Amino acid sequence: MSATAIGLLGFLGLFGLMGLGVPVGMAMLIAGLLGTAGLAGWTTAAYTLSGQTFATASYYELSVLPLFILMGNLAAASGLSRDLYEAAWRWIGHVRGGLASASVLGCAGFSALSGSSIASAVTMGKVAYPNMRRYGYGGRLATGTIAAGGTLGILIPPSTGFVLYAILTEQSIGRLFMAGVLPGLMLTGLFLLTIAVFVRLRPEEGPPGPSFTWRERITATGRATGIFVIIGLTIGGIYSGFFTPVEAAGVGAAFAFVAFLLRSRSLTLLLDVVRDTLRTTGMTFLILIGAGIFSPFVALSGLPGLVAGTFTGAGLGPHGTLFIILALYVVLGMVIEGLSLMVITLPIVFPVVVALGFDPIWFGVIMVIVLEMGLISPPVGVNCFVVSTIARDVKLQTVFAGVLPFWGAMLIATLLLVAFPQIALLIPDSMFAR
Amino acid sequence: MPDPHAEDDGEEAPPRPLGRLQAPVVYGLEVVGGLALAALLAITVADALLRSLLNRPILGGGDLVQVALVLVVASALPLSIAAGRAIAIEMLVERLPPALETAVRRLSAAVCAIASGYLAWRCYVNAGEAALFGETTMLLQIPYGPFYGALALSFALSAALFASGVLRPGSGA
Repeated sequence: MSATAIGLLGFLGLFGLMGLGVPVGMAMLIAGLLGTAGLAGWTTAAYTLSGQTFATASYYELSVLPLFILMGNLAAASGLSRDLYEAAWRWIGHVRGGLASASVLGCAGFSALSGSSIASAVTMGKVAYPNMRRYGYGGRLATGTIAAGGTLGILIPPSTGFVLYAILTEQSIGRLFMAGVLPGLMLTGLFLLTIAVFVRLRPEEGPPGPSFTWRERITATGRATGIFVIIGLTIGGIYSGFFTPVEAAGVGAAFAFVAFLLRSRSLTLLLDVVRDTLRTTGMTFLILIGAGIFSPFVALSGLPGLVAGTFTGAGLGPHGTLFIILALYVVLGMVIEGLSLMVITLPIVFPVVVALGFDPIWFGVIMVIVLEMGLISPPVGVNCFVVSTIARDVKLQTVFAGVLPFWGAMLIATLLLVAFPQIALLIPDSMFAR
Repeated sequence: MPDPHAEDDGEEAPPRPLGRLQAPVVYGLEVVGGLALAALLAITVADALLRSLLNRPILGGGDLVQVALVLVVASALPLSIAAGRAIAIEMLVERLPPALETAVRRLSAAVCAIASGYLAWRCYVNAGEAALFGETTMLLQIPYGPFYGALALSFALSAALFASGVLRPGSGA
């Protein structure tokens, strides 16, 4: 049997195992082990298995993951993550659609710290959704805002998606973080614009909320300083070269710990934070360990070269090929969890993209946006399901209808990034040039 | 994500695939993982501040981070499996008739138990080889053997958790 045939069998086996409900990390591990055994013999496969596992578990750069997860959990437990929402609500809640805009900003801040779109939808949903309904917001706008708002987090550093992409493609974590800043701000702006258009067309969906005094606004803004300090420490520290990404993660987590001690001091809550950090770390590393075994097998099979050759031979041109790849991601993202989809497909897709002459950092940004689109796409847009469990008075179809305009905004953001790659590359290039 | 303000929304009790052994095993892993996480945080912050402010980084700080990370990962893997947090695509399995769903879940758990058990064995073999050949970290010469051993134990526990899923499908592992 040819190497390519074994490679294809490996993918079939992988999808078969995933279909049986085998955890994605374990499925990649098993398919990678058996595939490597088929290509290079059992001894090589056995050493690859344990060697790659140890290499992943002891990879210095990957220590950013538990540290950033810890930082996000501490920030959530101390209430830091909600402060941005509270401040935005007091500033813009009184204008039409203002509460929805505050929710988007709150979700962006929360998910930037937590690195999890779903956690953002759950936590912000419990706060922002009842608030919006209390002030007469329609179900479509209220649920759509929260489901979509969480997706911003993967672009705004620190982002788990960027760390995984960087490790799997051997790119700089710092450059990827920097590359996400402008697109993250652009997408936030597009979401706010979407809300403005939405309430202009359907004013009854987003009536004006209550007004607050200047004193209340300034107090809330003061409380939100903590979130800006954390983001400033991590992004600013990396951009200025003062900290490496690992150091920035540590310093950010330490600051969040101090904030936690000042605001909460509950030992039970601290233990919950540690417990959740370990569980999320384990979940992420299981996928990374699986990817560490599956990726060398895919490379060994020669499939990436074959796929690259097929795309090149099809005469679609670089952008034609790129659009096909992105369309496939949008479709696959509807049924496969985003980070899993990234680690499964990168060994094939990344060499193709690089061979077509695209910038790997820029593609990383595009990829995470497209994967996040999957989180709000029917039929299994996880964020929509999560929001529908919070908004029990709203039908799931209404939630999907509500996120549709935001999905469109993400599509526009993707197209803008394809047309103007500088949006993503401006900051990392200026950082590199210094 | 722990949430101090979250309302009780009637979430189900966490799964207990190891039965009576669950509590002590999970507690032990949480203690080891928590201490390793604290060490990882302390080393990283101290190294960052000493390097950037005093230009005196911790000698072998990277080595310490590496081994602390192994302990974090080794304790975190079984904890995430015990809590049912491993990412799986359940869309197809959930649509099967109940009897077939149970059978598929048992099969899936058995496959994972065998793979985890084999990986535990391989890490155990590598632990011995690392000790035999004197494999260590770069600067501090910390032996790799015990850390391969920690991963072997981690995957052995994971295998046990998956195996319990064969007997009790849907118990979380």
